[in-house]
Amino acid sequence: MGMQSVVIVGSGAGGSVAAWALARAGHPVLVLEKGRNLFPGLGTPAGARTLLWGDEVSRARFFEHQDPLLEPRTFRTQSEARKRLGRSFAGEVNNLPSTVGGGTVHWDAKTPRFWRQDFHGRSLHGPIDGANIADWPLGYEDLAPFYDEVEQLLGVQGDIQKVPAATLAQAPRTGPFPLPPNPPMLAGSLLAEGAAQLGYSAYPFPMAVHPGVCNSCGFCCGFGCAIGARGGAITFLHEAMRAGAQLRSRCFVDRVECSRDGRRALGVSYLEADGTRRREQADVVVLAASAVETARLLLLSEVGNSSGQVGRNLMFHHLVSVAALFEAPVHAWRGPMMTHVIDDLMGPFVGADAGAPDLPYLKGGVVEVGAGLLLLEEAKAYARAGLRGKALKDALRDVALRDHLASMTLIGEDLPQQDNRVDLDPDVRDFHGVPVPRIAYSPHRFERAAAAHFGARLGEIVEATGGAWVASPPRQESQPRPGAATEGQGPFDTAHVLGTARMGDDPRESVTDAYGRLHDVPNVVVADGSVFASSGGANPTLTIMALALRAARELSGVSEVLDG
Amino acid sequence: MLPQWPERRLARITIDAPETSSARCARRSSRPPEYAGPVIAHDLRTLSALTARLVPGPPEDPDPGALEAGAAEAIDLLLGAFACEQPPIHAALEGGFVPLDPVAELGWRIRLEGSQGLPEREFAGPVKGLAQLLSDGLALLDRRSREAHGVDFADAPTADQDALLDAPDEQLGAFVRLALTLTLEAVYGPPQYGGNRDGAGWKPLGWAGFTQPQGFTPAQVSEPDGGATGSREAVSELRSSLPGEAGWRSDSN
Repeated sequence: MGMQSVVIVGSGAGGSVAAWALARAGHPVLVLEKGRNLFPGLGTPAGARTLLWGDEVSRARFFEHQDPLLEPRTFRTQSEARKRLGRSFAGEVNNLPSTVGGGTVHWDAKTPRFWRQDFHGRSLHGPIDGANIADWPLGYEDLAPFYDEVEQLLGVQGDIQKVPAATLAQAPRTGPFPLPPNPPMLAGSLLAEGAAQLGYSAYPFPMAVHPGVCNSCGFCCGFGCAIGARGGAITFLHEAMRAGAQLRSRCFVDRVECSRDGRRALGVSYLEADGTRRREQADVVVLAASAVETARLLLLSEVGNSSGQVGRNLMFHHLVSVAALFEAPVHAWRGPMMTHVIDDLMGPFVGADAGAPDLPYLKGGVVEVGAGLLLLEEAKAYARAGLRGKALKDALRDVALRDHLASMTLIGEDLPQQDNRVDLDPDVRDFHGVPVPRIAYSPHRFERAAAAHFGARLGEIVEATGGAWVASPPRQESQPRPGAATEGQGPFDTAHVLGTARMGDDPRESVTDAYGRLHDVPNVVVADGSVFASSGGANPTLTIMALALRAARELSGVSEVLDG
Repeated sequence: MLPQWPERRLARITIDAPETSSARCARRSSRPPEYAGPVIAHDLRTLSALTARLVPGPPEDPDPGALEAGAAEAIDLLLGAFACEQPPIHAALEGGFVPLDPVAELGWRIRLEGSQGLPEREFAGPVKGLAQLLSDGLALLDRRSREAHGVDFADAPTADQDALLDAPDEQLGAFVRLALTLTLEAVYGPPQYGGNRDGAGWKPLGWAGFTQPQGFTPAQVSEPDGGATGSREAVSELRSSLPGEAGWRSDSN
């Protein structure tokens, strides 16, 4: 009997890892990606080149992102949805890169692990009114070997000696990080001293940045790395293709095709760039299009939704940012976005510590310490603040935020809610004529309280830092911003998109099992952020990759692939 | 380093005899003209005058501004991207521009030229193109200038120009914000897009742009060194003028 054939929808973090594991186990693998391939040579012996580099203008021109004029998304708040308003915004809503390699083509490659407690929120901390808190059907120990393996393959740097004991207790490691840390960025080191005054410890941020290659050019998060100093989906895709996987870009899958009884997927139907319809049969279909697009595909296909949970429990991280201004120049833009992280605000905090009397507890997340601004970003920040003309030029010379500003950002846990969801917009179509995803989102009071509470803590760290002071009040970026639409921007800035096909043991309350298999159609496997039952307080990509690897190994029945 | 730019479009246009984009496309490209409406019915002079107020140069400001950077011409080049053999949308690091594939080209034609009633561009409703937005905005600016000061915007004294830009006018304000974004990109963005001429935006600020393959040494990353002359006083002054929700951090992934 031949190996099961696999078609994978999406070539980002989850899809690339699944493709790698399955192709190396001998499965015929086809990866369909709706975006463009910006990596000529990918999968060839010569290796991949990149067309991306540190270009601040191109960055805003939908090079690696889907173009919202071609593939808009729509948005409404929960209260607008209750009033039956179709949408209050159409355009760019949480666009992750839509390209070969997905979001990892321009990530700054931060790879914290989730904590033990993140997988058992319901059991450990109990329910919260208005939120749909659930345990995952797996625990940290189930994922740990896959974390280890993905870290090795990506090339993750860190310093186990400096990881706080509390972090190691929650996310234990079997060994050191594969690579040593980058040179510490000055602003991060200074803020770390302030944090230490308050009893917090900042330590080298684990990240898939290769210290022998990275030269800290500063064009990192939001830019493709021109010198290949970061691991990512491309790492896996290249090896998957060398092992026989096929990749087709600009192929938009809009339907999973199933047997007449709906119990078995037969393959997928997709559209090429010019609208030509094609079909691909497969024994197994892997969905890794990211949380918004995977939910859209399941809804378009009317597959996997006997629980009614497809598209629901949509989570973004809520980012709480405080900007520190330093009297002396600290050039916080030089380096891989930031090199320091603080875990002390992860929580949970209860009682007076949380400052939220109507909530049983508060959780925060990792704090990214010491990110700066590049020149055009700085100029645009002044413009948003209402400056122009000579005043703007004076600010570029005399305020010089690029030299004096460093931000701290908490990756705040976002609770799942039934009514934060993706559904199909009944009216708006993309350029293929396919209904676009419509996103309904409102933060829970948990996130509002957490933003206020942890924003104040971040401010204290800045104030404890010598020669620095708080430049602006805390800002919570995942709040819908009314009025943003008139500026042509979507309602959020966060790009962590999770939870629309949650995993669980009970088919009545979840969409997939612990290996990402749809309860309804077990030969469809979800291998992206859709399956997260909670958002945790940490950058999610490493966890997406570890889950995808675990799912792929289960599928192939191979526990480990010997190199060769 | 710089590719061969096509002739600048706006410079050749007069109010009396506007030249259409399609005519220029037909002349400069083998691609059949898909767009038949007027793109710019106004002159480069108004756009130049506007960019000069948004990012002024000498004598008002000691450093080069939008005029010296060639900002209006760079904006014009973007509007006429499809008259170029290589549309200047995404610069390639090794020179020239990355070709758009057919899907990306459709998106950028809609963005620049508008949907023009073409069914393949109006799947999500009509879209006004950037060229039309600019053309309409410049016409509005002149109209307001003539109403208030009796002359076209470019002919008004700078104080009168500023008064217009400061006026509480929602329609004009939206256009000025759009023009400011484009002007900042042209002055402070990479020179491959035709602006930031002779380092007009970068040199006075000591900004090196993208420094690969050098990058920075560990000492340059980890230790203090020079930098611009920002002062606590200047920051405090700026702070007092900022709205609370001013975002310092533009992207997170």
